[in-house]
Amino acid sequence: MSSFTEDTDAQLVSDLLRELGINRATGFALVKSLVERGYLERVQHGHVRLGHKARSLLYTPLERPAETDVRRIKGLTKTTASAGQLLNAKLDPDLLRTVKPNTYARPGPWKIAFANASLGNAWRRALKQSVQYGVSLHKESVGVFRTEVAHDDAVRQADQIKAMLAEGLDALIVSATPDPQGHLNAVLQQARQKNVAIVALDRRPRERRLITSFVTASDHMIGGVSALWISEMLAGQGRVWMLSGLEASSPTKRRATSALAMFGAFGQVEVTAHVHTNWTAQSGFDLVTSLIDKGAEPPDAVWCDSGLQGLGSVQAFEAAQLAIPPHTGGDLNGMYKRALDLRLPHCALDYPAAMGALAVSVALDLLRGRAVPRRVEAPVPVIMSRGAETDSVRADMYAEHHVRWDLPDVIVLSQGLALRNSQKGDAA
Amino acid sequence: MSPKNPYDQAIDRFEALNAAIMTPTTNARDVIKQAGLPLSSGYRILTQFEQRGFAKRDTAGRYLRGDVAWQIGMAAFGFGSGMAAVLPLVRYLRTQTLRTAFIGVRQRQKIHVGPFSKGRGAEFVSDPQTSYEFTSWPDDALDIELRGQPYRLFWAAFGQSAPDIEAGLAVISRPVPDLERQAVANQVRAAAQMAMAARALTGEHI
Repeated sequence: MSSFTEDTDAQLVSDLLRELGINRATGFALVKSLVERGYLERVQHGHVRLGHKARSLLYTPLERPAETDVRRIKGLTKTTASAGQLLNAKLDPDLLRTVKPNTYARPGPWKIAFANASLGNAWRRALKQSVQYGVSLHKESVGVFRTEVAHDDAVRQADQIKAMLAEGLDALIVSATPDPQGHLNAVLQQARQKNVAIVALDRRPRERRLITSFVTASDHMIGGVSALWISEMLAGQGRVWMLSGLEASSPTKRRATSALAMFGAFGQVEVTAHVHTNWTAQSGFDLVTSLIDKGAEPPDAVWCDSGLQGLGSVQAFEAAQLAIPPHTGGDLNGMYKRALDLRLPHCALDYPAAMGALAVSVALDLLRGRAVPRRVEAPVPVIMSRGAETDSVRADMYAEHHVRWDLPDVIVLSQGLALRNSQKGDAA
Repeated sequence: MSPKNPYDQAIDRFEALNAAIMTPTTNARDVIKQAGLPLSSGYRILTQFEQRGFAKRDTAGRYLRGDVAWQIGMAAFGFGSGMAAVLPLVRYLRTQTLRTAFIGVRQRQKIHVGPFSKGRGAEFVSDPQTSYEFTSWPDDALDIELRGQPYRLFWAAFGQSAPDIEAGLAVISRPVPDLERQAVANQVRAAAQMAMAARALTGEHI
């Protein structure tokens, strides 16, 4: 039935069976049953097309969001059409462009490699787990899987990819190292010439034209929605401290830009401090402690682009015995635990490490000849403490359902089902 | 009654799995049990079902219908190439309006609901029906009922496969004042324009 998703015209049964590699006796009997059950219908001279029953597959929930108990939220009774306009959600044009079907199609099982930029923090380790989970989910389709880590060295990553190409590859998943000199260009060009599907994951190579599809998540959403939440929590007026991630990284810049634009839109939300952490709890703790020690007036809210440093910020307020203001920032199990323990108003948008498994699916879809968007964004759910919702920012999931009390603080929750494997790894 | 042939049995399993994944089950074992499959072969069958794109799992492990399934549904109405490119617009519309948004097919006096993303907060609604019927097509929105409450369904078409079959994007909203209604209708129309452009671009860009 999936043979009709690109071309809905009637197809000759014998052609269909040949393409699918099904022998004639089995194939004709299966087609007969599918016709009798309404999934296919016969048209003239041995042709079939999708039947009326196939239409029943249309109905599809894209996610299962948390049900809001509106009665518990003071003032939250209406939705304004301007809520989304305020967020000004941007739609990257590449989300709506697809790779030409069958460009990379070939028979499986396939050889896939993952060229990983680094394993330098908890999130990157979660990403690796997620890729491995994706491969295990499709183990019958993936004949050979190989992974290399470049430790943020572009020359090393280029050499690793070259070696993997020499051994023969069908698809390359690459999370690119910072590469200001363009060391990756030549080897990615070589991969393209060999018709290898190149799926960039989380970090895109400098030359965008060299990749087939980019799997990522929206930093604009992470920065903008969390700033919108703070602005509405403060009724459009108050002091905010901003704790960004690594200063040189592009996600940090995109999240901060979106947040600053949102705070600016409210006019009287004042950013009284903006510091850069290295996405660790220790750096969050040190920087917030330093601000407190310097006598900076305590903020009404703290915007963190991740809970990786957000946890340290909360701990710094606790250590200084100050009232802890509302915080943003997710990712880290410890952040959710502490926010729930303290009943802290908290809004988090996890940067989904589960995009690793998604990248594997995208690579396999390309090799199966399916139409794949040029850019694939993993959903970024809004995770909130109960009662913290505002007019424009609503929970996709409540923190109490997301937190894992049974797992260590350092676990990154957004790796999805790969968490099971990481649990095993931690136990070992 | 003669026993079913293996092909009919395979279709029975396919239908049973399709029904099982529409309930919010959290693990493979539940899906297999709900589908009435033997545990011994159920895991293998469910894995194949997932690998072929008829099911997928969210980050919490709950099963959802896969993208291949709804694309077959669209193809059965005559909408093939380019549908994958339209999907991001469903979440976009939901984010823009906070309301339930979906891709659907309007066939004569019926709208069939396809992939949908539910509204949030005060606009959280029960799952939409699989289809809505109407007697005459209004100017901008259709009055519908959900859990006995009045709602409006805003619709804008982005494609046509036959004189009486069109694909479109839709938003379901609680009744709102005129100004608000106009804003929602404009957002749905704008998204449908983007969908047309996206379908036109399909395959152009490698």
